[in-house]
Amino acid sequence: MATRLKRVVVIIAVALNLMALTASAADTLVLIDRSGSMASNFQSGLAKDLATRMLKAAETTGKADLAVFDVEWHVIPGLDSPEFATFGKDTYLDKTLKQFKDKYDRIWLLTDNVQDDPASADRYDMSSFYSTLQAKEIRTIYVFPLRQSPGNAGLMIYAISTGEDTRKLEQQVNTFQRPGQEFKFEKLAMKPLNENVIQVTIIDVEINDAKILHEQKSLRIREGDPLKIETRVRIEPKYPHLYFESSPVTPSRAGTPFKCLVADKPESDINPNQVQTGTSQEYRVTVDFGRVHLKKGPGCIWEAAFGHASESADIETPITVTIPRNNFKLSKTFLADYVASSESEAKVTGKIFGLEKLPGYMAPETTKVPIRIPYRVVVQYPSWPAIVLSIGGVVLLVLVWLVIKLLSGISFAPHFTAETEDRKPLPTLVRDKQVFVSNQLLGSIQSNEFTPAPGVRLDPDLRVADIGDSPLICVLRDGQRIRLRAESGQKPRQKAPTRSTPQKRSAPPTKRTTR
Amino acid sequence: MNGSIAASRARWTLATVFTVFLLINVVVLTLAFLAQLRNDPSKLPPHLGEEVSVGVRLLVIAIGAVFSWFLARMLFKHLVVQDVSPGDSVGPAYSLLSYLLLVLAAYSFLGFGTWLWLPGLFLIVLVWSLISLWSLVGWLPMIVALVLAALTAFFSWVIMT
Repeated sequence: MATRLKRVVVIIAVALNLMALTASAADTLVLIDRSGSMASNFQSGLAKDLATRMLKAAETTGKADLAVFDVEWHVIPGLDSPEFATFGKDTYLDKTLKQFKDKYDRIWLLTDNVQDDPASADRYDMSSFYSTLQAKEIRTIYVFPLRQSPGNAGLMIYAISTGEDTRKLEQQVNTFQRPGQEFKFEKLAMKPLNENVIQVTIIDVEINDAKILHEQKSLRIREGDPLKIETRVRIEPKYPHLYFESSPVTPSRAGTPFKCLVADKPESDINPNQVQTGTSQEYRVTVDFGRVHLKKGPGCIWEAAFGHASESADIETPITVTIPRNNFKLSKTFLADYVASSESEAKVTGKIFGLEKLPGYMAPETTKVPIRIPYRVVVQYPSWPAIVLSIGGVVLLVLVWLVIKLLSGISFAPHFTAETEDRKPLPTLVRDKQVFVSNQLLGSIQSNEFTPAPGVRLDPDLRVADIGDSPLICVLRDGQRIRLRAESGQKPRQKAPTRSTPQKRSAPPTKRTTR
Repeated sequence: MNGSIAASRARWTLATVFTVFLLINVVVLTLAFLAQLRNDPSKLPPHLGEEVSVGVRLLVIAIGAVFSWFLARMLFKHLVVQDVSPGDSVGPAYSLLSYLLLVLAAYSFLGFGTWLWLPGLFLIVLVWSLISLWSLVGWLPMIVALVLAALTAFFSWVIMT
């Protein structure tokens, strides 16, 4: 029993130790170059200061290991270890990095950027080191160049991340750059060098040869106007330390996406003309569709008349700029400030050796930069469809009304019947808008209104009366009262009073007679 | 009904309707002028949106014209009942109808193309109404209406700026 208990205790202790070891395993390594060319930096204390700062930054996200290297590498317990200031002669940057890149998620490297390569004709050839940095496993690299006073070669600090998640590296870099420390370092992005480091700026837009604000994003033209969009685009690196040379552009075509409008040219070529400026590349992208017209189909004419006042559509002008790896360069200003062309020049000037080739290794074979310039074009429909259809509609309504009237036997002139107060019908005739009753002029009709003739008055006493208000009571000079009734324009076919028939047949009274 | 009272009633009816219509038009015109001057469409008086088709705008005008015509007819009858001769009643009734149509036209077509037709038409309608109303209404109510219109234009301008 006691033996079994002892075994369990031992197993638990071993498991706990393993867990503790796993938990405390460092995922960041700080590598310090201690080759012979770095000796002066150790003697001045600069190497230790920088190593301390790098270690502090690395420990922001957890435990960090410290190692020194020349042609060999040694993980050391701390900066006070006697191994720290023991110098070698040559430096194998590439071999050291290859040794550790698979073991740590992040590596901080301090070096004077001198790679000893006995296999190469050029003794200080950096190609093999840069090729190692080019490896797929290394995803992110920031560099911090430190120019020194003449007599000491400049130093480089590389912050490298092998993992996809770069948040911890960013955290460490922020700690490293925290203000209030002795040296002010500028973070220079070096990998990945792809479309993420490229900035596309639309400088100006001309629509039909008139400049518009790009912020407007939409253009309003009238049907029949030309549609020509000319855009000036600038492509430049986001960071001032980078520069890229002129690169080819793939032309494309753009189509008109309108529903009820048609352009002279249904498709337009997009031919970007390249303009190289001092620090950036500019392209003039032209899309010309010719004039835009309304489609003549009935649906589109109806849409233009009663649907909407305008039609809008997005026009894209897609072009792709292809930047080959070797076109990525360091900017002229950065080269002048930091980069020495030889190891001896680096020592004399305090600049850094071999940096000029670095961007060419960090970029992919080709970087394609898609540029999309979407524009919302609003084309105002013409007014003629509305006017033509409205006039047509009115004409049609009038025709329908006329046909209905004709078919149903409705008279166009209002028809009147008159009777005495005893309801005796009186002969009535309407001629030239004048109403005659028993051959006597009773009044005239104008626009549906009855005006009594001289000597006749209306009861109630009105100058005019609406014939819709019938029966109208007309009082003659002799006091006789006549009820005048308008019959809604309907011709009485069978209702004609028998007594009035003979009078109706008589000749109509002339104005002179009635007067 | 006493003839002089009837004439007096007609006179005041005309003066009131004229003043109200004139003031509405003055406010609309002032706001339109201000919006044009500031190049700010948000200052325009209420109007149909940019996307409303020409056909619908014309339809609004047509419906408004029918409505205005009925109102003018009512006014015409009212004037005739008030012992104004039919010949004298036609001018005022239809010039006041034009004010209403002008407001509807502004509602339909402001913010859609040019606006210069509005002050042009307003001037024509103003001159027409002044000529047709002057003899019926008399100079004092007309001057009062014009002064009120000027004050309304001034205060509309001050408030909106």
